[in-house]
Amino acid sequence: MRNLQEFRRRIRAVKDLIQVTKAMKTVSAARLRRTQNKVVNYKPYAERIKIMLSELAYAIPHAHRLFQPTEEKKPLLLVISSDKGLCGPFNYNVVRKALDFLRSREGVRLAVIGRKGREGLKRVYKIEKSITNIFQKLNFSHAKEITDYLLSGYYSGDWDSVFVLYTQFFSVGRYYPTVERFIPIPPFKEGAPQEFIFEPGLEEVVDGLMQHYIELEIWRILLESSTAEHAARMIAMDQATRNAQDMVRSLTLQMNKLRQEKITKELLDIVTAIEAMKKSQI
Amino acid sequence: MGRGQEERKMKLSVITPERKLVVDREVEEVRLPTPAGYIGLLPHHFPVMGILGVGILSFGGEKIAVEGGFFRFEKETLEVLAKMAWKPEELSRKQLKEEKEKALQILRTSSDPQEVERAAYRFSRASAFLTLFQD
Repeated sequence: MRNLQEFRRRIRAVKDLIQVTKAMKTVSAARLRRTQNKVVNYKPYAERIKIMLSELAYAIPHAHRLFQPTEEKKPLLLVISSDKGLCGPFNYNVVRKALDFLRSREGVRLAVIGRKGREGLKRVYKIEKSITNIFQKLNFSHAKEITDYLLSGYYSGDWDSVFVLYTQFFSVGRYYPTVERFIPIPPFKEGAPQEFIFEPGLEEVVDGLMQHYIELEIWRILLESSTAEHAARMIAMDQATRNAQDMVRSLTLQMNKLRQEKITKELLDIVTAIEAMKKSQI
Repeated sequence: MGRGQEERKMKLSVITPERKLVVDREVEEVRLPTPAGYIGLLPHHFPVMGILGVGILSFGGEKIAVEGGFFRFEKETLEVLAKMAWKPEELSRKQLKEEKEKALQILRTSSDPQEVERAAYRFSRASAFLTLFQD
């Protein structure tokens, strides 16, 4: 990079890059807000379902298969990653945590949500099932689909417990991957039973509610992971923008120095020439 | 004055895990789908808790398409907790018709029991939602 032309070209390229990273940051911020809105709406709904479950807790047999502690000899690990990259260490952390879990236990079956997790894990472990490209248009039917998969394998004995690895979201700067025991579920708090007519019947309502409870938990986890993903991308893009801005500054400085040098040299030439002319006139 | 009328009303909320569609609306009657068919709820009904089917929830001239979930009526308040729900303007008649046709095609030709079950569900869902567009 000896000449000014080259400097100008590079500065322009980096400035274009800033446009891109800035736009991506804005998009991530908007998506983050949208996902957080969904969390806000999810909470009162889940609260109502939990109230109904506690009102009916008296009717749920303690021997229900979803409550029964098992030996956890055939666990299923469900890993939640993201479909897209450029979100800092988000997926790296998830994959690393998954590998820790897979190393610490034997006979684990693996299911993965998100393309990045599948790419990161498929070379080192057999993936039973992967679900990808759901985060772009995340809706509740995805939670239903995943729950159906988890429960059908649980009831048919393919696995005797389900663990979920996802990124827990605390704030925009704080999110950590974590593993939760998902099935069997802890028993529900028993609330005051009230008199109700059940439509079609008590047993059906209880069964439906319990299945729905799991769907809601999956939904919560998908939302939380997606929130953390957008936050991670926002921060990564912010960092990238700042790095690029630093680069523009340092390139501009170098370019100005070079230009200054050139000007000085030219001035020097002119002054020398004038001096020479003066001397010749005398 | 007017008190007697007020007592003949109940409050209705329709929420899903993703959004709130109706919040504390005063209504006189609600018709909702259960897996066994439609039921009507009027104020002063005995407390009832049940499973929401797939179909059209209607109240005070408004309609909402719901797909699964639960409802709970108590203290003159009906809470509809739908797994998924759509306002009529969010659904396309054309798309539903195509979906119904596609499901019907599978029902006629397929022999895979799982596929047939899924298609039967899609068929009944599309048929139920299509009634939104008939008057």
